[in-house]
Amino acid sequence: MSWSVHDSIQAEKLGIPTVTIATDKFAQLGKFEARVLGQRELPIVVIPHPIVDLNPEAARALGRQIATQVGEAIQGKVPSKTVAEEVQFRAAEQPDVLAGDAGELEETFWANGWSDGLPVVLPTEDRVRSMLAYSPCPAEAIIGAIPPFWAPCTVKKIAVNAVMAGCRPEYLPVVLAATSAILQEEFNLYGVQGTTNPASPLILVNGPLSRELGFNSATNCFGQGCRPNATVGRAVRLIMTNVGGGVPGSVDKSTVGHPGKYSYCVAENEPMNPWEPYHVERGYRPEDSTVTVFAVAGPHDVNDKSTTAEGLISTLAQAMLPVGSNSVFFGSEAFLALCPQHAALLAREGISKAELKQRLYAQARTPLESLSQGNREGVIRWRPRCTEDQNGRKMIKLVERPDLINVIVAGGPGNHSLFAPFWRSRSVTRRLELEEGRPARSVTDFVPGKKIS
Amino acid sequence: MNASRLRVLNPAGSPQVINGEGAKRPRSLDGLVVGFLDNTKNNTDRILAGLEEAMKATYGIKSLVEVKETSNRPADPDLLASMASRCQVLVTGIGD
Repeated sequence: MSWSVHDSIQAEKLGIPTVTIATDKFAQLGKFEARVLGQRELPIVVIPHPIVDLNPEAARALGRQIATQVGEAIQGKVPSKTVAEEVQFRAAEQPDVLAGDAGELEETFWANGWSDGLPVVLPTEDRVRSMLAYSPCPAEAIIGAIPPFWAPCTVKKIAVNAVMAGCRPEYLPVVLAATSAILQEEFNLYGVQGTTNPASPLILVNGPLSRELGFNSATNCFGQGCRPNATVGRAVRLIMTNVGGGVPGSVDKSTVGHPGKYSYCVAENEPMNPWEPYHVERGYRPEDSTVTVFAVAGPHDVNDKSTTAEGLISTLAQAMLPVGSNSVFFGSEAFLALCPQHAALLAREGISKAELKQRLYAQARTPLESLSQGNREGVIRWRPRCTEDQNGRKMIKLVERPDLINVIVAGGPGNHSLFAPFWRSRSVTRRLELEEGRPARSVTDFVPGKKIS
Repeated sequence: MNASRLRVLNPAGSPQVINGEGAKRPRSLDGLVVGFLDNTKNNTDRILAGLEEAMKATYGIKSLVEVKETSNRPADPDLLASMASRCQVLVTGIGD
């Protein structure tokens, strides 16, 4: 929905009157987006949802039925519909500082939807001030505009949400870097915020600060129980919801969502990685610390008890391209977290990370004919270059190039690796830097003279 | 001041509403070239084909159909500019 409205507005700016067609479940979001983007009157013709399962003749007939509506909308004869007033504009009505006792304030936060559904830590002025001490830039510096509100997001606003999420002050540089990363155009946050897909930012932390701050990269690292993982991921989600307006239902249209939408943050297990750490592969130095974001669906366990690298690679290749997953439809990139045992098995047989990617690229294929007609059609329209002829059959590839497969090492003892199907997005890495752009080597660099407890 | 009273900061952003104006609308569609920008959602091609057919019959339009790379991204600005130079009206969709 979001990008069709965006396209129409771009055309209107070029002087071409438009009509956008939307289904009834999404039209309200479209009207809201048009309003925010400056086209309150943008005509949207509404058809019944869903359209995906219409048979070909019914789809054509539906098109014929709306011809008069579209014609009149083009000529401006349709009275402009009211804008999506129910989409929250409440923030604008609230003061910057709210006062009350804890119970009253907690109720205000619940009433305004300033939560992910779990209780939040109240962002008192003192707590926010302590958090801001770790900012590499001034509190009023703007990190970017968060869609679909396109609200300029200050460091202070990020700190407020980080306090609410339960972050310690010294986590702030990681939250800032992650927020900056999701705002890069190639990440496609505008799409992530409104899509029916369960895609959500997965945050990967690398380098010495990941260990200094205590991120979990080992046993249960994608699970519960570790404050940095839990609260940094949660802070980014709260920022997307509170500052960006990604409220479930009105803007966040994810059909089913997934639990990682509460928090989805992990560190790489660099000590157990037999190859170079992920961030080094992306061109950073081992002593740099980085944050990388991936727009992915929920994690998928890969339980493999192979005794050879060949066996393991075969399992991974089959697991990473299951029919019905995002991997089939998008193929923008792939994300694989190898557990240390699986990584060690590969390394023992002398397989480099590059060779692993090459072999996964070559082996992760699914016959196009194994998809049902509607899915085949979707894949061909969305990924026209995704298939390759192999022994007379058209095979869908996982990705277009081996280097689009992201491989990290994470987890503790056991034989469970993990992959997460990618959405239409590209991963983005940000280095943790001090104000002057110097790389941070320790979290204490942000607060000279102060020791973290 | 009551010691139990706290001062907390508002965590929310406000929508940055721009006030813009849309393009001027035609009084009649007769003979105009209408562009149809298919966003690749399933069945969008068929719905737009039905619409194109009926608009030709009803309004006497001419048509131009283009397909963007994916519904999950903005249309290529070059594609939009090219359509803007070749049609007088644009229909986009389907938001779903």
